Amino acid sequence: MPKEQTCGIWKALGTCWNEPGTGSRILDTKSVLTRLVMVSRTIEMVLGEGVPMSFHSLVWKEMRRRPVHSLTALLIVALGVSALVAVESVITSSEQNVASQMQQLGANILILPEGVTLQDYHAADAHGKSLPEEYVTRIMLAQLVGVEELAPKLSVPVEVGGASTMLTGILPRTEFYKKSAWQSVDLLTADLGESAVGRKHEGCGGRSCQIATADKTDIGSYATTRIVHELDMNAALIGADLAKSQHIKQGQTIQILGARLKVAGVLPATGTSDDGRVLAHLHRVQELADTGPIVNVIEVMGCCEEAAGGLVGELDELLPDARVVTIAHIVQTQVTVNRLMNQLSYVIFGILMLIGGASIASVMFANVAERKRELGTLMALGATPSMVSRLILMKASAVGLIGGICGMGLGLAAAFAIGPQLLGVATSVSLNAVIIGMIAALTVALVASYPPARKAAHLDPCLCFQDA
Amino acid sequence: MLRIESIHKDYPRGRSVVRALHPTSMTASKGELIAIVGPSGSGKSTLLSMIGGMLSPTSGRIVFEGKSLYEISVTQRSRLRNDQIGFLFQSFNLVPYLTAVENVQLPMTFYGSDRVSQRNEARRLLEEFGLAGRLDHKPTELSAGQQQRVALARTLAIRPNLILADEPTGNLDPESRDMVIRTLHDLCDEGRTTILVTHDETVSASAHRVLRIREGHTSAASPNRSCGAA
Repeated sequence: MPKEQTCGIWKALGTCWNEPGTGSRILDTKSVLTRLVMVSRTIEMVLGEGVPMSFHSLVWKEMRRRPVHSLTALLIVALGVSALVAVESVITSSEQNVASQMQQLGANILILPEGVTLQDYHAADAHGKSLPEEYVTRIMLAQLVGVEELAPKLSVPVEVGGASTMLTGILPRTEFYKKSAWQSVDLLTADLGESAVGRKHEGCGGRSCQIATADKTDIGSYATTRIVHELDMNAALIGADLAKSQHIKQGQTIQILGARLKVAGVLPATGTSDDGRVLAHLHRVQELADTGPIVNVIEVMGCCEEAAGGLVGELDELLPDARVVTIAHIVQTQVTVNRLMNQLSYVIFGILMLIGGASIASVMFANVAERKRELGTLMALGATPSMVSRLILMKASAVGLIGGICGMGLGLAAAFAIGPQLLGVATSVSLNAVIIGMIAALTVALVASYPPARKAAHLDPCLCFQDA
Repeated sequence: MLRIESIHKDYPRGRSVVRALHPTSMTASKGELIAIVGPSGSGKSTLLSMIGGMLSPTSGRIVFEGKSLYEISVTQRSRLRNDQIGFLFQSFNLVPYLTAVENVQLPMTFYGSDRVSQRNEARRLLEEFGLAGRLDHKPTELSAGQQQRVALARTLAIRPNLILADEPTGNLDPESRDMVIRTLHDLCDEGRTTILVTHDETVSASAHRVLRIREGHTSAASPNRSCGAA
């Protein structure tokens, strides 16, 4: 193939990066830089190539001539800002998530298998360890004061319509009723809507119960109360996100673990990992996954934190092989982790900004040294020292600003990718981090380039008379 | 137009002082072309820098168009250079990342605001110098002669009354050299004053007066010919 044909647009840029013989382009640093130059030329065309030159365009043209110099500093600034924006956005979302959980759940207790550590309430069943289902009966029979609701869960990984998700078994309230009847012990009150599991507590300082009362007729009330009154053995509830992504509608039948389950309802979005799950009757899940009578977690709902606090000791005594933790403890752990991540993100940001600042200063000093003759010529042609220093400061601002914008973009992309995938948190933008990141990037760039700008302003203009 | 009153320049070197230029006085009239000649390191560029308002003399005064150059502020001096003094360099000193037309436009951008007319003026000057086909070429894409023509156009862009040229023909072939000298003489005919530093005897021979410098000492500017006789 003639070289002229294989080079194409690269030839137009004055450089051809085609591999001889193969015609394929070599993607090396030079190639990437050439592409960047091309992008910058396009931007210039958009902004107005051919439009008479301004003082500001000198900066842009000079940056375009030496892209590598500015690129290193720009990348470090971008990394710093992206780290801050990404971590802060995830933390903000996580905090909002925790706050929303607290609002939704009130005081809660989780009973987990021994050795399970937990930082996320909604991932409480995703650890692969199990407890005997018999523990649920044991708690019911103990009739502990303050236990308002019990919600055992078992989760198994499944595929729905080609998408990987979790099938979570839950026990409807009618099962508790059946169980108490079977036990022939009148431990549960007849009205399941009030206190169905334990005895009334007296520890909420006279306040009424904070737990939302589940609507017996609304299957979607699971999203807020975590309780379903009735659930058929062949029925399934679908999380909002999963229903949307797989186009699943109420009344439809879905195939899971070889069984056909009818969609009894699509749950409203909660912003948690529950939105991507399928819920079915606990005993049906045990049967389909062939696990036997086990659960991964038992959620115990008390009316208030005071009641839940008192229960921990009693449950510990009742179930010595299990780990009992309060939701407040989980939230506290999550808040502590968030704070740590928050502080860490600022430390990383600070370090990267320092490196970025040092890098910008170094790049600018080198730039001034390289351009002595050029800057001297500008002064000879009538540029004042302040104009020359402005040229350097404007270049640094451009590095800071572009670095900040790139970092913001990278950070948000990372937050939106990492948040839901790895942490199960629906990410929202942390405006604080974006503003702090941009201001810091610009400030660091300006502060770092002030000494080289000063040096440039004090250059001897007679340098223009010396031969290169 | 230009009056140099007993200026000298000392550079401190450790505890001692090196005298780069001994007391020098001279005047330049409107339309005069004065050549400064002398061996390397004799103080030619020092003198040119001081006349251009870029290097203050240790003592003495330089009065240009009635203004004492070193008794006005740095900003005023920069503005004066931009308004009335044009520079021409041996190595052309074109800004490498700007095109020919942008280089010519450069001195006009510092204070002017009408960018369209600046660009048109830059185009016109380059076309006058026969560079109509090289407007958007970068300096590296031009020959030495073409670069010096761009530099000449840049010098003239501000319509200076005083042109200071440092070895303007030093890197040029004979044809380009003749063109530069012819242009400088034309400018003198238009009433602009030119002071040029040169090693080239042919160039100095065509000047109206020659100022010789040796080890910082200047000899009186000897008249060669009258204005307009090139």
